[in-house]
Amino acid sequence: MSGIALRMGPLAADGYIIQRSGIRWLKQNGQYCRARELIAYCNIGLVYSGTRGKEPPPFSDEGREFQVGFATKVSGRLCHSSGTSLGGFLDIHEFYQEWTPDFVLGQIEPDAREMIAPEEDPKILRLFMFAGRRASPLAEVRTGLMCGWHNRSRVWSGEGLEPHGTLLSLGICEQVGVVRGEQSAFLEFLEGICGPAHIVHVPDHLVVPSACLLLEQMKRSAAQFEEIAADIAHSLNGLGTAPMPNDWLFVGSLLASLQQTTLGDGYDLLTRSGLSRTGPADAVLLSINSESSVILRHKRLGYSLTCHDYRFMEAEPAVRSWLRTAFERVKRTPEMIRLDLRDLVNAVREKAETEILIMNGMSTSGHEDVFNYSPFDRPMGDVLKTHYIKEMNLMLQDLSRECDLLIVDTDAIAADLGAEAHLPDGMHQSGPLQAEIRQEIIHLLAARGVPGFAPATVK
Amino acid sequence: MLLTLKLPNLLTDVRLAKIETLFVVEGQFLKPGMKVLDLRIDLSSVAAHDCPPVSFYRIAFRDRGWLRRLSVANGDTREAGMELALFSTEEDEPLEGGPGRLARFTTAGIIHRSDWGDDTGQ
Repeated sequence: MSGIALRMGPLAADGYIIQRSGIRWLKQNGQYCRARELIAYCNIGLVYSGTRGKEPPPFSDEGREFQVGFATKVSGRLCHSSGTSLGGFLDIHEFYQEWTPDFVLGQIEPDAREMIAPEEDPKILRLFMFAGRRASPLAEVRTGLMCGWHNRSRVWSGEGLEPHGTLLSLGICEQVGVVRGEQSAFLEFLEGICGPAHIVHVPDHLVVPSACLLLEQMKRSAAQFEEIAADIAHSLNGLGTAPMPNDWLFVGSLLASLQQTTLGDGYDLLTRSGLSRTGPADAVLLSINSESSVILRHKRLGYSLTCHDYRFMEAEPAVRSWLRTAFERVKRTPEMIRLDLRDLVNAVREKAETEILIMNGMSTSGHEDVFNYSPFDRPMGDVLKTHYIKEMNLMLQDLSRECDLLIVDTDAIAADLGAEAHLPDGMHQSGPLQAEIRQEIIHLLAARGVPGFAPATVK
Repeated sequence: MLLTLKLPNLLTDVRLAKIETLFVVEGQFLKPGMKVLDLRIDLSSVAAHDCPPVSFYRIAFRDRGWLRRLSVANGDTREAGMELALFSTEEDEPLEGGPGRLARFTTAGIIHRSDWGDDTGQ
C-alpha cells in the first residue's frame, strides 16, 4: 500500500532518556481510522541520562502507569509496520526500546475526500499522554490503556505548543462515564476537543467527594492526619473482632482518600516541548449527587466521612463496628450543603482563579404518578427523591448566581433525550446521554475560555 | 366491590421488586393517601454490581377500602402484575365471585437510608 508513513516524532525530556515498550494496536491492520482517533499506544518511562538528582523525578507516583497514545492527523486506511508489536512483556515494560522520532509505526492511505490543514504535518502522529496514580503499589494491572486501580487518572495532549488547560473531575459514578468514556481512557472526551487540554479524574475510592469532605482535605494538617491514622489503628485493634483483609483494605483506602489534597494538586506534564508542570486545575467538575443529605462525622476528631451506603453494607464486621461506634450520622439540609459548597468554592478560588462546574440532578421520574402530595410526610424533601432533587437543583441555581458557578444541566439534557431509556435509575446514564453531557461540559468550558477545550470541528 | 392491588411494572426492563416495608395490616380500613408499602428495585439484582442501581418506590392508596388479604410480607419478591393485596369496599364482603376492579394507587420514588449501622447486613 502506498501512503503516508506515520512517525512517532520528537519527544524529549532534559536529563532523561525516554524509553518505551512495544506498540499495542487499537486499530486493526487495514482498518479505516478517523483523524484524531487513537490507533495505538505504548508504555513509556523516564530514565536518568546523567547523575541522579536529589529531587524526586517527575511522575514519581505515576511512573509505572505512564502511557502515550498515537492518533493520526488524517482519516484513512491504516497499515501496520512489521515488528512494531513485540508481544508479551515487551509490549508492557518500557525497558527495552528508546523513543526514536523517526520510528515508523505504519502508513495511512489518506481519505481523498478530506482536506489536510496546511499547518498539519500528517507524517507525524499526534500524541496523547496518559498517567495513572495507583491506589496502591500492589494494584499492578498493566493489561491495557489506562486500566488498573488508580486513585487519579489523567490525559493530556502531547503536542505541547501552548499552555494546557486542566479540568479536574471529582466524581461519583455518573461522572466516570462522562469523563472517561466507554473504554475508560478519556477517548471520547479527547475526540470532542481540539486544543491542548489536560483532563484529570479522581474516583470515589473510597470517599465521595462532597463539599465538606473536600474542604477538610484542603485544610487538614499533617498532624491532624496522623491523629486520624493513629485513632483508626487504635480503634481497630480494640474492637475485639480481628480485622479481616477487607477491613485493612477499607481503612487503607479511607486513609489514602483523607490524605489526598486533590484540589491543590500540581501535575507533571511531558509534551513535545519537554517537561513542565501545571496546576492547580483551571476548572473543577463536581456533581450535586455527591452531596448526600446524611453524612458521618467522627465523634471525637470531628472529621467528615461521605461514602456510598453500599460500601458500608459490603464492609466486614470489624469496620462496620468501628463506623457504628466512632461516628454519628449528621443530617444536612440543602441550605447546609449550599454553605459547604460556597465555602469550598471560595477556598479554591483563594488559591487560584478556577471555574467550577456542577452537574445537577434528575428531578423528575417517568415511573411516578403523584396526583396528590398529601400521602407523603413533611418535609417532603426527606421522603420524595424527585422533590429532594428539585430542592437541590434550586439551591444550585441560587449558588450559581452567588458564586458564578456553571451548572451542567443534566436534568434538562436527560429529560430531552428521554430519561426512561437513558437514565433508568436516575443516576447511571446511557452512552448517548453521557455523550450529550460531555458535549455540554466542553461547551461550557470553551465559553469560559478555559484553554484547550475548544470543541473539535466536524469535517 | 373487590379492589385488587397489583405490582406495577415500574421499570421497563425489570419485572421484579422486593417488598421493603409494609405499612398496613389485614383488616385495616384504608383511605386515600395512606401508605401501603415501599418497594426496592435493583437493576443489578441478577449479578453483583459496583454502585448498584437501586431505586425505592412508595405505593400509596387512592381508594377507600378494607384490606382483606395481604399477599406479601416484608422481604418478599414479586413480579410485575402479581397481586400484592386485595381490598373490599364493604367490610364483610365475600372475597370470591363479586364484581371487582384494580385498586387505584400512586407511585413515587423515595429516599431510602440503609440500616447498615444496626449491623444486620442486608
